[in-house]
Formats: sequence, structure tokens, C-alpha cells
Amino acid sequence: MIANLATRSAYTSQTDSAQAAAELIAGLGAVTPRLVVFFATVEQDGALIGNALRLRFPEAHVAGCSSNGEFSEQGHGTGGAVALALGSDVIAQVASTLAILDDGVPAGIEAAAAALSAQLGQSIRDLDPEHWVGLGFLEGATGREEKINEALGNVAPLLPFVGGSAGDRIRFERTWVYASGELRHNACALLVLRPARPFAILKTCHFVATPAEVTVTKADPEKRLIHELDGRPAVERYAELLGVSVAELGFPHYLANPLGLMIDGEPWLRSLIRSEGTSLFFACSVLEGMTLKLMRAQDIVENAATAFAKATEPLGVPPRAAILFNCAYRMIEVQIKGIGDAYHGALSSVVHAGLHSNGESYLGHINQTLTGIVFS
Amino acid sequence: MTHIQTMEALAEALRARLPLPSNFYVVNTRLILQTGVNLRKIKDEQSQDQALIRKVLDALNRMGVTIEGGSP
Repeated sequence: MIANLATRSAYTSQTDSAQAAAELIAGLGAVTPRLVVFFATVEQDGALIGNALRLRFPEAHVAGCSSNGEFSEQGHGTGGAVALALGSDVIAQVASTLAILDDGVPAGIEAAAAALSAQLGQSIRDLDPEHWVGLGFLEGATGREEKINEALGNVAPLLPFVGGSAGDRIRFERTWVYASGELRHNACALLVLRPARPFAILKTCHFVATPAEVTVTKADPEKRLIHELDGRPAVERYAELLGVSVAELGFPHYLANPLGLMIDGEPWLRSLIRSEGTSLFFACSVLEGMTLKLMRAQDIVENAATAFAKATEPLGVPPRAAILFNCAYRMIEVQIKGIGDAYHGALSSVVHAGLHSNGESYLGHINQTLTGIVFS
Repeated sequence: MTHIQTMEALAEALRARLPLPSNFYVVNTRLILQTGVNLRKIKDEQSQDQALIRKVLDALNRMGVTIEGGSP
């Protein structure tokens, strides 16, 4: 039995937001949550859904964001919505707020940190990361996740924020986030949680490093462009690594062959989106001087199951809930291969809610990754 | 106070400031992503690069993580 009275998820494929909200509320049932998170495809009226959840659960913090698709152990798809209710047996304390970025990223994050600190009665800088964790639904359309993560590190350097970039059907035009009873586009929803019991941070990808590596010799990190690899036009050197001609290069190559920054043996993926002239445009910034490995894919279903088990093993008990952020590239791979049920089945041993995101976050911005927080 | 002259000295000072391995890991990962410097695996060409040392110190200062010998 994996459900209990205080922890429930709900999934709806309804595209009408009023009906979607009603189905989420019905699905969550008679719970008394401390926190409700929800994710809904970008066309949904996030304010309507968020406000309906707040009305139904007036004592809970309610936060959410737009998605490229959403999933729980109850179902998965694109166009609908998903919600997860966490009770006091899972979440001992929570604070939530919006980081409004109209005056720039640092100002928005600093104001949000002050608001979170005021709610908790102590500075989030001083929170013990053994007992606290940050949760972030980031503005996901304008390529500022590196700045947002850096600003989060500046206000609370020892406190990891786990999360992802809000989605918009991978159009990178406009996303929305919801917190504090308000929907915003140019903003992040930020939460800090004190789980009632041990928790685990999940970060996994199904790629392993090959021996092939390149050094970034010319880049424009602000624009997420790499101009040169190993002193040569980036697109030429990348095509050479793959053993194909520049003319042959296309999305299937980019999807299957990301580059990885290796940190202590673990890949932090940098995904390619397209070529721009002789340069490569990435979904993540890369600095000059960085050495990147060419990555090779493994089985995404097996990796998800194994990583989930490995992350939760130290908890000592079966996990009771998870909030997950799954890269839209992973969603595309799963769709292309027709393994959606197997993939989501690998995650479904635990009550969860997740979104297919425009990018993932854990200490920094990453791509083609599954991140999340798992609660015991 | 002696000013930090090498990346190895900077790494040692940060370890002294953050003795808990999990805290060092978190801050070092932030530094890698922001500056390209892994204080657990310093490249030869990074060891004496004063501009890069300054860049890492600036990143730490922005985080409010002050280390001995790290002030200008």
C-alpha cells in the first residue's frame, strides 16, 4: 500500500481548466495537506487551478508551474494537470513565495529569499541542509536559469535548491509559475521545505561518458553558444566526434549525443539544440576552458529505476512521495521509442507528481536529466 | 594575513572554512559551474592563474563564503 490519508497525487487529462481543477481536487480526496504542488500544460489556466486548490486546502501552501507534459503514478500525458498533496507527516515546515524577475534576477531572488526567511523566522542562509531543502519552479523560457541558480547560491550557498524550468511545449516563449495565490510569467516559485523524515535528492541521466572529449576554446556563455571546440569550428568538431558530416547533423544526433561536464565522475549534461552557422547552440551555458565528454546513451527505463532505488536506499524505508522534474528531451526520447508506460512505471513505486521541464536544476542548470526530491 | 597565491591554497582555505564534506561539495560544485574550476581536481594551468584565482574568490564573496587570505 503506497498511499496514505495525508499523501496523495491526482492526474487529469482534462484540458478545460475548471474541469481539470475539479478532477484534481476529487483525486486528492479528503487529505489535509501542508503543501500542494501542481503542474499543468502551459495552455491551462494556472491561476484558476491554483486558486481552486487554495480554496479547497486553505491551510496548505500551493505552488505550481506550467509544463511540457505532466505525470504521476496515476497517469501521464500532455495537456492536462497533476497535483501532489503532502501532509504534516511528510512536510514538517514549509515557506513559499514568488521571485519576481522584473527588476533583474539578483533583485528578484534576494527579495524572495527575504520573504522566505520572514515566513520561517530565520534566514534561509542559516538553514541546515541536513534538514532543509529548497524547491524551485524556475522561469523557463528566457535562458536565465544559470543566473537564477547562481543567485540562489548567493543567498543560501549551502542549501541546495532542486527543481526545474517551467515548460511551454518546448517553445521557449512564455511559461508561468504560481505561488502565494498569484500567477506570474516573469518569475520563479520558490519553496523551502523541512521534511518530517529523511529525504533524498535525485539527479540522474541515462548517459555515460565515452573516451572522446573536447575542450571549449571559444564560447559565448550568455547566449549558450559554443563557437569553437579544440580550436576548430564547433559544428565541424562535433560532427567529427560523431563520425558524420556537418550536412548530416540534425536533431536526432543532438538528442542522442549530448556533451557532459564531468564533476567527480558524474555527468552534468549540456544538450545541443541546433547549429548556428559554425557554432552550436546549447540548452545550457558552457564556459571557455571546460572539457566536455561525448556521452553515450544507456537504457532510460533501467536508469530511472536504478537511480530511484539508489537514491532512496539510504532512507532505510520505502519512500512515500516524490516531486520530479523530467527533461523534455527525455520525454521526446521516451515518446519516439514508444516506452512511456514502461518509463513512468519505473517511477511509480512511489506517490509522485512531476513535469516534463524546459531544464533541470540542482546547484546549477542542467539538461536531459531527471531531478527530484524523494520523501520518506 | 597572507594573500592566496595558488588555487591549491585557495582549496585548502575553503576546506578549512567548510570542513563538512557535503558543504564543500555543494560550494565546489557551484564554483565549477560558475568558473570552470574544480577545487578537488585543479588543472595545471589553473594553479597559478591569478585572474582565475580572483574569479573564484569573487564567486565565493558573492556567496558570502569568506576564507582566510581571500580578501584583496
